[in-house]
Amino acid sequence: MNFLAQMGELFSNFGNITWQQVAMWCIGGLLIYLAIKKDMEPTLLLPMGFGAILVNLPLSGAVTQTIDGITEIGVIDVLFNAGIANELFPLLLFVGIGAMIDFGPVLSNPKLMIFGAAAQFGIFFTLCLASCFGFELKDAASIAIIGAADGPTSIFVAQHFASKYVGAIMVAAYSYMALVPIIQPPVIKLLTTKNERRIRMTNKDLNVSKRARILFPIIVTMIAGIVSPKSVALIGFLMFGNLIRECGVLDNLSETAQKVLANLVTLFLGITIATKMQADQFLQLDTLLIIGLGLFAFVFDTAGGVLFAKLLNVFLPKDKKINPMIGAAGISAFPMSARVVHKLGLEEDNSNFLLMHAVGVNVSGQIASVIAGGLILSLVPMFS
Amino acid sequence: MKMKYLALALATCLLALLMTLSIGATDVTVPETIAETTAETVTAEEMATEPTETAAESESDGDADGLAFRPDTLKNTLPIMGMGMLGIFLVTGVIVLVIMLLNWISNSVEKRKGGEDGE
Repeated sequence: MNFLAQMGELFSNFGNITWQQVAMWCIGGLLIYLAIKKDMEPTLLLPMGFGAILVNLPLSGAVTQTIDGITEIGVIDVLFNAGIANELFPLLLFVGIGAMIDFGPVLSNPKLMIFGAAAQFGIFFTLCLASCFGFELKDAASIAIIGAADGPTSIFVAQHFASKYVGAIMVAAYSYMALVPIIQPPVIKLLTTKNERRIRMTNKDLNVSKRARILFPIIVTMIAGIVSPKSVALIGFLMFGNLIRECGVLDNLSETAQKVLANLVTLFLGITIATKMQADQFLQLDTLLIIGLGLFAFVFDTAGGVLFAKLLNVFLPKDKKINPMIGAAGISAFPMSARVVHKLGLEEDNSNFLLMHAVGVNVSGQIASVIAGGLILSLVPMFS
Repeated sequence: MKMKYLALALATCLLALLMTLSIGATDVTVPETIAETTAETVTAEEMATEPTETAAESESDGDADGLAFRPDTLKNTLPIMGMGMLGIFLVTGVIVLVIMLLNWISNSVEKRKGGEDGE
C-alpha cells in the first residue's frame, strides 16, 4: 500500500496538467513545425516553440516556482532578468545586425531613405487603433512596433515600457517577419496598377567613398540621438556594429559580431522570451487582438510606403517616376522585403531589375524603424 | 483596373473609419473621469508639470474599461501619430542632407586628388 502511495506521489504531477498548458504545447509544436517545415524564421521560432513547451510543463523547474512557500528560481527567468529585462540581448543583437548591413545602396542614393520614413505610418496608426481598443498607451505603443518588422526593436520597446504582452508581441513580430512574402504582395498589388508596377528606374552607380561609409554610422547616431535621446542605445549599437564593419581595421571583430555574437544571442533570445509564453499570461483574448493589430500594422506600413511613392509620382516628371512598389520595402524585414519587391517587378516585366533600389529602401527601413522606436520611447511618456 | 477599384474602396473604407472614429471622438458621451483626463492632458507641457496625477487617472480608466472600443482616445493618440511621423521625416531629411553633403565632399576630394596625381 505504501509502495502504491509512493508511486502515486511520484507521478502526481500528471494531475497538475491543465488544458491551457496542453494548448500552449500545441502552440509550441506549431511554432517548431513552422520553423522546420516552412522555414519561417527558424532561428527564433524554433527556440520560442521549444521554450513554450518548456515553461508550460506543470511545476516546470525552468521557470521560477513557489511551492509550499519555498521559491525556486528557474533558469529561464534568470536568463530573462539577465538579458531581456535590462534590454541587453536586443542591443547585443543589434551590434551583429549592424555588422551585417551594407549601407552602400542608401549612401549612393540617399533620397531612398524617405520611403523608409513613410513606411513607418502603420506603427503610429496602429498605436492609435490599439489605444482605441482600450490598451494602455504604453502597451499600445509596444504592440504598434510589431509593424516595424524589427524583432529587437519590438523587444526593446515592449520591455522598456514593461508591457505585460511582450510574449505575444514577440510571437507576432517574428511570425509576421517570416510571412513578409505572403503579406506584402497582395497589399502592393491592391494599391498599384500594372503600369505602375512596370515603371523602370535607372540605377545610379555612384561610388561611395570609405570616408562616407565610416562617417555615416557616427553621424546617424548623433542626429538620431540628439532628436530622441532614448533611441541612443538602439541606434548606437546598430551603428557601432556597422562602424566595426566599415572601418576596415576590425575585420575579426566584424566577423565575430556577424556570426558568433548574433548566433549566440539569438540562441538564448528565443528560449528566454518563452518565459512570457506561460499559459496564464498568453492564452487571453488580448493575445488574439495583439496578433490582429500586428498584422494591421504590417499591412499599413507596406501601404504607407507604396502610397507615399504614388504621391511623389504625382509631382515627378514622366521620365523620373518611381516604381511605387519600392515603397513597400521600407519596413525593416531585411532582405526579405527587398526580394519580394524585386520578384514582383520581374513578374510584371522580366527585364525590370528593382533589387538595388529595393535594397536601398529596405536598409533605410531598418534605420527608420529604429528611429520610430526611439521617437515612441520619447513621445509616449509625454502623453501618458 | 479591378485592383484600382479595390484600392479605392479600401481607401474609402479607411477614410470612413477615420471619420467615424473622429466623429465618435467628439460626439461620444464619455465617462466623467475620461473627459476630465482628456481635458487636463491637452498639451505635453501640461503633462510634464503634473505627470503623476494624470498617469494615475489614465491607469485607473484602463483598468475600469478593460478592452472596450474607446474612440475618444484618438484625441490623445492622433497628436502622437502626427508628431511621430513628422519627427521621422525630419530626422530622415537631415540624414539625407548630411549623406548628400558627405558624398559631395568625398567626390570633390577625390577629384582634387585625381587632378593632383594627373599633374
